[in-house]
Amino acid sequence: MQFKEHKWVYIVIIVALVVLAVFGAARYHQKKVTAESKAKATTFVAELQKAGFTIRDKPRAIERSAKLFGTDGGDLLADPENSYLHALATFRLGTGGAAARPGILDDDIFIAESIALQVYRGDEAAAEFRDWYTDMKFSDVSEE
Amino acid sequence: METADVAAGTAPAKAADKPAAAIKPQYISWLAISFMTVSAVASLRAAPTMATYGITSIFLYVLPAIVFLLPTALVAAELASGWKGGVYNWCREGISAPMGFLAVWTQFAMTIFYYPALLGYVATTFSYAIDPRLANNGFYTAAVIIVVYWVAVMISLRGVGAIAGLSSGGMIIGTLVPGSALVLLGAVYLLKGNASVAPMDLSHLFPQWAGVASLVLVVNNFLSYAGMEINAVHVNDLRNPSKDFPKAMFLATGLVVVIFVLPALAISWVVPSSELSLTGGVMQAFESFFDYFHVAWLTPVVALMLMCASLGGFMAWLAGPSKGLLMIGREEGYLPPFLQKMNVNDVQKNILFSQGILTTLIALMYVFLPSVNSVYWIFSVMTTQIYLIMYVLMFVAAMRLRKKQPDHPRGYRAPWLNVVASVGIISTVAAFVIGFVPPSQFGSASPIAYVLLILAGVGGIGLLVPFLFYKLRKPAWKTATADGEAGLPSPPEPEGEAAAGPSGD
Repeated sequence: MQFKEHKWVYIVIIVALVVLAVFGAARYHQKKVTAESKAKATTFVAELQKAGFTIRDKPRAIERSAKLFGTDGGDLLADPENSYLHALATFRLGTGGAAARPGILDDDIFIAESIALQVYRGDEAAAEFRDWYTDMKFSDVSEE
Repeated sequence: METADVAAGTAPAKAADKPAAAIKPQYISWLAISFMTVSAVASLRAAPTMATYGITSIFLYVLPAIVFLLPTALVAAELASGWKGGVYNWCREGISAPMGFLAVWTQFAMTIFYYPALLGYVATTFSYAIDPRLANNGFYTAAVIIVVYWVAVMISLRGVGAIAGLSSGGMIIGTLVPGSALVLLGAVYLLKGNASVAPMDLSHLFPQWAGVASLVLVVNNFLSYAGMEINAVHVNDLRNPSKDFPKAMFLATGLVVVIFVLPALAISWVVPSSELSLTGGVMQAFESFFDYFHVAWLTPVVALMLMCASLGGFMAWLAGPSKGLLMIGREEGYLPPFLQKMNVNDVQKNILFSQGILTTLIALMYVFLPSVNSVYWIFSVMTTQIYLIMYVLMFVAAMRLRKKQPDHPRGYRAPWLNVVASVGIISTVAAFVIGFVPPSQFGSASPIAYVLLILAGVGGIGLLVPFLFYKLRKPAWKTATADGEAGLPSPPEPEGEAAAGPSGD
């Protein structure tokens, strides 16, 4: 592996990664589950069930949603259209690999997100998002 | 540190200036080539998405492995064990020199839009470790793309040894370690008596039929395995290419399948698909997984590891197609002398610099044209279609070489080559045809318009550009022979143009 010839490159990269990992782990904090975030999460999960999503472990789904969205939806719901387009541009939707390309998506993720927007950001934000994706073509490719 | 350029055609002169003992070839091990290949192809990026399919993900990965990965790996193993230089030389020997150039151009063209996308993913993943609010910030994304690209180029200029080390290391740290951790934790979850949250019975093995969408899903997964052949360009950097390269390919093939299948399954055992759907993001899915084991704080660490894997893969791609382009450009005179310039480590520096300028411009569009996100995927589709042309050429070349040069020494001979290559061609053509089916975001717009758009891209980027290079070629641009020796001498380059990189590696 010719470590000797390139040892300074490797050492600099390893040190930088270790520092970043420690920084990231120390800085990491999950949103606290409060009475308010839990109440919102309970509403959200109930709405998901109403929309036909199968929730196999309801208490866990409520806890995860409370941690994920907090009381206001957090970063995940800040700019859903842009997040989606960015994810699409950077191959986070669809299969992996260098030659990844988008396919025909299941609408689950969009429905779930519009419900989340409705609960956490209000009817207007949800309607705006629904208008945005309404022209897309979906198919029921993943199993619920 | 040697700082002089090695201009096209002047390599022997420069080399002759050095004492023989100072010129040490940079050999890399077969394990390094194998890990570089895995790094270029496999990652955990798609694991949360594929986990939503549960046990179906086995089918979605194994079928493409049989009909696309295996043919690619077997054919590449045979060709690399007999001919140096990778895909350009296989296609030149098997079909013709222009087809060799077309093959390597299609491989290279794929990277034009792949690099900014991959580095955009690196930016997003990195933001998760430092500040998730940066994820959708155009300035931040552009800065990461530009800085990482140029730093990677500077490292690449040190030669294939540096690339092999970083690429292999990135794969181990960013894919093997976290992938193993996911599988281990998933197994612990099951061994504790928990039932898998995704149904694991065989009745769910096949995807539910949803018409064309299901076909798109299955066939698009062929492309998960694209890139197995790119490191064949380094075959001459192995001590015993004819034996070592096939070994490297077989190990890589096994690892790639395992890396794709097992972590996706492990996530599906623990995190319900509805939760994966509602969280959307890759890192949020990992967070859900780790949260179950009360180690959610590991998520930013894993984000950094995934970033390492992507950077390792990026390094492998950076070193591959551009080198093939340089080699045929020099040997056939298809590239102008400026693009043929190498540094003392034989790295195609001006091709990398030129591509860097293009990558920088694309990255700047993230800042000045935020709507670039909404059309970027179209360019990815176009270049993926173009890349598929290379696979057809490679399979055809393999069959023709068996017929034309049956006695040419090969370290490995693929069994039933004609059948294997034919299966590869059929799979590739299927992937090409399915590439014309409009995806979700094209919406209700005309499918014919979509087909014409993609065809225009394939024609323009994939065929017209290499045709122009071919038409404009000059005999004087031929600066090396097929056996790697410098050909027609060209005037020496003016001194003083510095190139980074150590000498004598």
